[in-house]
Amino acid sequence: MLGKLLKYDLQNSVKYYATMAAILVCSIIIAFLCSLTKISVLSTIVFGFSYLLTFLLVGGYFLVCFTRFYTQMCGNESYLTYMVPASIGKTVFSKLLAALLWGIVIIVMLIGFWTALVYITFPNLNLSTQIDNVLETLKPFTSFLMIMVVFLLLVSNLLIALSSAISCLPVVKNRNGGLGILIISFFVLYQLSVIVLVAVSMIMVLLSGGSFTSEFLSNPASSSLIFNSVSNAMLGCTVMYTILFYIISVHLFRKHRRI
Amino acid sequence: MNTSVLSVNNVDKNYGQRKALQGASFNVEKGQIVGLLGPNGSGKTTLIKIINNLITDYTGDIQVCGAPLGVLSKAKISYLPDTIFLRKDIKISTAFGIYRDFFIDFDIVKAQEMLTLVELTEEQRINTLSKGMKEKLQLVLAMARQASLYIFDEPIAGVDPAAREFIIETILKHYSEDGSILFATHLISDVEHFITRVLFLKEGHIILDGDSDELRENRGKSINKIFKEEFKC
Repeated sequence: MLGKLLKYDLQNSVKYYATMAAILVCSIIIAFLCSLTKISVLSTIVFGFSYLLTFLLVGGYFLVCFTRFYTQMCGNESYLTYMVPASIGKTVFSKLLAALLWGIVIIVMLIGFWTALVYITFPNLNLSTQIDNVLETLKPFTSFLMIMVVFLLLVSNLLIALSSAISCLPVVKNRNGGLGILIISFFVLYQLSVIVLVAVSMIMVLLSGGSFTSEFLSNPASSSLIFNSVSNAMLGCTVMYTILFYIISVHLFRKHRRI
Repeated sequence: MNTSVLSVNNVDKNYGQRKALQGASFNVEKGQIVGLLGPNGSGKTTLIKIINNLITDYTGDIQVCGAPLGVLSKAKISYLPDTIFLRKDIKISTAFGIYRDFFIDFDIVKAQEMLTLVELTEEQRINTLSKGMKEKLQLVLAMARQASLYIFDEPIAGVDPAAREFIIETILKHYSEDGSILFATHLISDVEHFITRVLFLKEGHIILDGDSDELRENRGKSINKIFKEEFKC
């Protein structure tokens, strides 16, 4: 059943991501045509547009996740969601998995887009050497970064799931505040998560033997102690959030929903 | 042998201070066509949503074919809600595919036959259909399942008399003979001729539960007249 749910969830969003991919391909073609003109100001515009596009696509990804979660778990489509003979745990998990896979697809698409853009704009740059240099620099952190990306995508979508679950609560539905509550809950939960993350990081710095004056006030950017503590705290917190948010979301959807 | 398809015991549900259901209890036996009858706001949709796991904050006990509400009960119920729940941007063939994937009792050949009857094709997109056609499509999807219990929530409300007749004919022609039907409506005269049992729901209470033929015989009136008497303003 999980496979069928996942197939359904992936199919549900495919057209949005296909559109995003098409936009990126069109942008690359436009960037290529601009590079042929040899007008330097156009390159600046193309890069500015590409930054904007990157933000828009990341925003678009979360918007799709928001709307799909809300309509399928709390909106009209939820009739079908709850009609299907699958447990709530599997239903939420399949949506998370679909969002994670699409998130990875977006990241890969954006990496490809930027690589192509740099290659087009700076044809004389030895790109393969540059990529090798970047990969060499990132090598010690590769596994950490990959794990973090996966967990950050999961946590972001679990925050959406949890906010959706809160917006389905009977007490909220009684007041007809579903979608508004979803948005408010998302931002409140997001802020709380960041506060906890920062607090845990600070505690870890202090536990590692650091002090406020030496680590936080002097030059935090160059402090390896802060970097290690923050990275450990991020990893620990995201894993903790993933487990916690999943359990709470499933519990709320299972026991306290009203459609 | 237990032939109870649906067993509802002492179900209470409140919306804030308002009591939507109070001690609702009844059984639906195999083969019965039960009319859940009551005016607007009597609790019919709430009860149906509870049975279909859409509302979970209630008290009481409900079992479907001996199993508590959950994955097993969902597999046995074919539910037609009073709202359009299908995605608007998909084709009818995709909707069939979704049902075929999720419900093992979905008979796609039967669905295709019924689709021809309602003059739709699998290539049509749902967002190109009128509200009435979308409702018919959802009816096709619900009736193409070989379920143990079919639940219809106001399927004939807000449609013209010809469409009402078509909906009722489709339901009676295509429901699984081993199955039972729970049919919620406030349009009694349209359903009186085929329901075998009636449940009158008033302000969350089941005020009358009986065999429709016996009721007509004992009271010497039609179900419609009994309903009008019971729910006189």
